[in-house]
Amino acid sequence: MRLLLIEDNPRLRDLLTESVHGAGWNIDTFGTVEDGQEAVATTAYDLLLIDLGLPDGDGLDLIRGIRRRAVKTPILALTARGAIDERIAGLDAGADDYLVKPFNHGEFLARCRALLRRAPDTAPPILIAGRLSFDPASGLLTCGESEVALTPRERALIEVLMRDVGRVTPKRKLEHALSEFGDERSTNAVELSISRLRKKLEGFQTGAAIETIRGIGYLLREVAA
Amino acid sequence: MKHAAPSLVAIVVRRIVFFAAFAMLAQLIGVFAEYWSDDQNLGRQAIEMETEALSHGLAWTDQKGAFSLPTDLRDRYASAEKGYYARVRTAGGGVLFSNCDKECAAHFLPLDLKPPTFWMRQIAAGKPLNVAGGRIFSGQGQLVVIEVAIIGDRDGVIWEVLAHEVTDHMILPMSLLLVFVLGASTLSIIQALRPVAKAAAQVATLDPRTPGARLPTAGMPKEIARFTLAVNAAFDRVVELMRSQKLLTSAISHEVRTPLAIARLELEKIDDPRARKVEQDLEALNRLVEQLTTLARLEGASLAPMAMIQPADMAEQVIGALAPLVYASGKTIEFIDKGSTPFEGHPALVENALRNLIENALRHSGQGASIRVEAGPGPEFAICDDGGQWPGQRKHVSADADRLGLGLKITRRIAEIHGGSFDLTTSGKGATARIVFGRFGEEGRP
Repeated sequence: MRLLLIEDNPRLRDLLTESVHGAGWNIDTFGTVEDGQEAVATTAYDLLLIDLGLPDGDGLDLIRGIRRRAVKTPILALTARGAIDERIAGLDAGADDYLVKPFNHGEFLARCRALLRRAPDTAPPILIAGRLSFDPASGLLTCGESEVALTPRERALIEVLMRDVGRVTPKRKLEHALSEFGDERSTNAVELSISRLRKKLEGFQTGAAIETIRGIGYLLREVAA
Repeated sequence: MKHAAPSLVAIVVRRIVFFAAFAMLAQLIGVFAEYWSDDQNLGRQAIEMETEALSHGLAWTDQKGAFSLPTDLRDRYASAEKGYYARVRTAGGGVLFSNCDKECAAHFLPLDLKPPTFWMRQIAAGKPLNVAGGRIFSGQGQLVVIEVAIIGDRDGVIWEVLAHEVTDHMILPMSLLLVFVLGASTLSIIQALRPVAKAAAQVATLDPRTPGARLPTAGMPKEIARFTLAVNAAFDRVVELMRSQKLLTSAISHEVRTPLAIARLELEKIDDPRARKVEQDLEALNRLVEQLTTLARLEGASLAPMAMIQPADMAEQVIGALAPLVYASGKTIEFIDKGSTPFEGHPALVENALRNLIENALRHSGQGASIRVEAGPGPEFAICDDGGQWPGQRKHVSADADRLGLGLKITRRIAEIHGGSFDLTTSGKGATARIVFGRFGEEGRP
């Protein structure tokens, strides 16, 4: 994996570089819009991390320029501007996600991982949450060395939840995932499947928990094992 | 000490009345001086007035004149004792009335003399008045001569003459003039002040955050328009000052976030409980920065366009963002849509208010607390927490200074900007915060 970071603050650049290296990825860093544009034009990256407040221009303009050149690489916008309308402006410009400063390493890497999964030219990655890992290609869920036997419905749900790990997954998204099994009209289908999934995971030290956010959906979060 | 300032109309009316009274007094003195020194004229006016008064006793029947002394003159002319003599006769010399003895008849024209239309003779110059005279009155083709002689003027006819003159030639015309002047002045002032009153009403609702908010000068008199322009200029300076403050606050807030991010990332690498404490302090600082940014945005809120907000979608989004933090704190959160309806508002501000209230419930509730977010009925949110469990002494649950800190004040202001309201109530261990947004733009509600 090769990431590009465009951030004008050298210390923040160093810290994020350290974080990215810790995750086993490579990263190129630049401090200006101009250098960033040149790097995007000459090198293929798997993920672009772009600060919106750059000394020689607006990061939003840089993102727009990249999208105009039909570069489909996922973009994570890093910014101090966190209001909803500012986030919408960032996403409208072509960013795939938004990370508001200040953030921590875990949050930063989780967002990077989520976007790398969407990378167009990469093989489907293994999804990780706590000690759980799920291979979308084979549909195999493991906890440490042990395999967790799942039904097709449970596999569909755990894949969606693990792609959203640390974030709330709306119930309708899970309902949609079950629609291929003809369950879209059954409002209880998701709840039943989640309940069964929880029971199956109870016997393992998963380091993750599926929380019910009543009225919204579910949250798969990593917890201390 | 409170004195209600008089209205401009009252001031002008008072001054006009004062100067009119002053002018009338001056004219009164002038009239008095002019008449008093002219005995001839006074005598003439006295004869005219008395004969006119006596003529009210004339009656015409069968082309013959008859006379009876008017009631109000009986005291004066019933006898000759007071020095007032009257004789009423026909043109042919027939006497219809007379209180005159032989002596006084000498003051009148001989009965066989054809009288002139009016005559007057000064018996003695100076005061008191000593005059005689007569006047012809006609009715049904008949002529009647009324003659009067005033000797000594004990009843003070001279004052009646003066009063009559003052009333006829000064008070009546001047009063009429005064009524017109006052009416015209009052009307002019009211009309001139109408745009001022309108502007005053607008000043009361003038908000520096409203784009292009200015007092209108159309229809104002030049002098008042100049004052209004000065007020508008002062208002522009206030708006400019607010804009600068907003930019400053916003810039500072944004500039602080990058060092905060660096500090947080650095702290994470330090495995020491003190680092965790500093992380908490940094979180508090970050909250303050967020609130300052919101404050800056709040002041410029009306500069931004409004949008239709779906309360359920907004709640879902904010709860989704905060849920990891809630569960990481050992608490739970749920959402209930109680029939919310869309409303028009500033999405960034509404989101901020909702986030503030959920974070407030999170901070002020104990371990295992349940937070419930309700949207509706209508365009409103309610955030309730059950207080949770506190190890040892319970943290404050009342609406104390902390609960009503900057964040909640911002929330209250956000509600106000949307024409709504905010209140925080505590009961038992928990608290309920309710924010209601304005009813504009909502649909499907009475």
